[in-house]
Amino acid sequence: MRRWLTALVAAALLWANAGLAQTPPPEARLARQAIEQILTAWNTPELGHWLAADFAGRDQLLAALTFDVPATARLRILAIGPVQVLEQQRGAGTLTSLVSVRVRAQAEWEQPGQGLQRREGTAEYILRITREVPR
Amino acid sequence: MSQRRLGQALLPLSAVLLALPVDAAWQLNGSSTLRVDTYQVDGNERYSPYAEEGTFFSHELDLSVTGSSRPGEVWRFDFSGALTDSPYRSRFTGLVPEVLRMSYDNTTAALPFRVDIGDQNVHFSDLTLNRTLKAGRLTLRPNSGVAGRNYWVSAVVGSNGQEWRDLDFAANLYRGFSLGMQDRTLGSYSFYLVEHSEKAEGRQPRLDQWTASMTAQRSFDVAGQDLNLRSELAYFHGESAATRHLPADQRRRSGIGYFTELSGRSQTRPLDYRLRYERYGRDFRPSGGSALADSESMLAEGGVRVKQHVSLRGRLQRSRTQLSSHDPLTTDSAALDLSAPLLPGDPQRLTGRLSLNVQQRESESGAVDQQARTVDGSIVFNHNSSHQTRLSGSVATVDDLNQSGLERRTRRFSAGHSARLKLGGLDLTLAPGVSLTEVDAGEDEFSAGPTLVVTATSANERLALELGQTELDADDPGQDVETRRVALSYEVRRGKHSFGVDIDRSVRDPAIGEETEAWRVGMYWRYDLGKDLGSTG
Repeated sequence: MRRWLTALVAAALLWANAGLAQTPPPEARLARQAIEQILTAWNTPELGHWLAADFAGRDQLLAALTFDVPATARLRILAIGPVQVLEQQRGAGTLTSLVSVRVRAQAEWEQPGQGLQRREGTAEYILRITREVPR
Repeated sequence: MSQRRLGQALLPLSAVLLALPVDAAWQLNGSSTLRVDTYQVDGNERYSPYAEEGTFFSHELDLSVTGSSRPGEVWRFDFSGALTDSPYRSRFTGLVPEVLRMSYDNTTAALPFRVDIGDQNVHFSDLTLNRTLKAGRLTLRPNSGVAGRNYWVSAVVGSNGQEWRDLDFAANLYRGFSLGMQDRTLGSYSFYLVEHSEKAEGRQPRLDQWTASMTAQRSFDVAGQDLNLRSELAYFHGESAATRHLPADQRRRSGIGYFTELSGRSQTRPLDYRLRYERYGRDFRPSGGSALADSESMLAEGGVRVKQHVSLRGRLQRSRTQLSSHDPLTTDSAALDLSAPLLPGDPQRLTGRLSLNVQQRESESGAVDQQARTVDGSIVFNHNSSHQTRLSGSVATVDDLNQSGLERRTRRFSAGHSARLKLGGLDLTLAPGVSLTEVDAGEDEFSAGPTLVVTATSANERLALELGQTELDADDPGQDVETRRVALSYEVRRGKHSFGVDIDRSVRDPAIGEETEAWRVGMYWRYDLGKDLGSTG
């Protein structure tokens, strides 16, 4: 506990001295926000709009959700792990990044007669993020 | 590997990172995050969303150093890890390295090459190897001497599904070799050879297999169409998860798999399309690829944009699985997506989207005969730049055609309004809504509830509040459940520092006196180490 208090005091001191420094690259923040939206869309008709047409397991995933997963099941994010930029490609005024995000999430649903059910797992998601950058 | 040995292993990396000249030629990206989370459950823990109670700490470090020591050479070092005691963050406690990687690229050597060591996404080809491995990889790119033509040779040795903390490199090992050519006019052609092994474990004997494949890809221009044709043909030999349990003389099998795909785009119209056929033999089971053994699939999809705002996309697919069994399974899918303005004179004001999806799953004997139909639509009314109303609904029916009374129909409807207001330097968004879900499946369920999302953002702050309540009415009133959820997150940024608070309260209330209330309260401080590529590149 003592080392954490020391760390928090150090954080407060750094905070007090922080100036308006250069904006950091937003890929990690965008990836975290995108993961929250994608996992909110899990098991809803919107999920298909997030999946790339060339994602190999696209149709198997959508068919499994349709036929095998309880209709009211939802995902809760337990922890977002490391976010890694795997590749970046510049286009005309754009920067496309392939970003890997490791997420620990839990499916939850109400099972009649058995109450709340939860199943957790860790998965790696590969996101393609395109944003405008100065030419 | 013990924690101490791990720390010793990381020291050289830290020394390298500290010794690097982090100046204009180098970029340091990443962040350091200190996080404290408290989980508390009152009531029946079995019905809590959180399996563990307590207060947990994490210090997460994401670090990436990229730079060049001389022209034509690029170094990159990546480290991600956490010092944590949170069971939600990792199954380990203490120092948990998650990503370690180093790469060196030299384009000016007599034989240009690249070396990657550590965690990396190894994408050889769809059918041989596409996995994130802890690996070492060497890629040579000999000069072709021909303009517009490149050659490459690559070799990789890596382990899959491992954590650095208990790394057993040989447990799940891939060894791969690739050779290829890319030519501006002739196309791309490559050869891959991947060997895979898994150690014996318990009653499971050792697994050995190899896959060889050839890929070809060529772009061409025919009748005003930009076309791209790509194919892969692969041969597999060895043991697989499906044969591992068999007697030794029956484990090794061979199989062939292939796919071919034609995609195109009109040069004069906003039209694109894709045709794909794939077939994989019963014993075609490479562990590193994405093929589904004993199956074939045919796909046709395309999209067209009319008058800039109207978009129509369609997709037809037939998949057949368990082909060599006595009862193959066929899944047919058809989907249509249409989005268009509903007021031709003002295309942005009122827009609509409609998706139709039909899936039929049927076995040859008729033992399996299921159908799913989904209609999903939304209407968005942009009153002005500040107000938007959105209505969306879907009806999904899953029907077992072999047995009456097993139809499951899910109807969803949601309505919401979003109002954006300016309060001083604050952008405030209020989004109240209502959501209804009815599941009609013998034992019916109906859930309904209001939702409210409030976000307030300024140049350096963001506050988000989400409220949701659901009443679940089951056929048996004894199984009715009310759930309530409040989630609040606040983040303030100052320069490279961010401070945030997350609060999540979930209540599950099946009956008086049986309430389960679960809390998560988290705080974090993140220090961003990054520089924007856009402004420096």
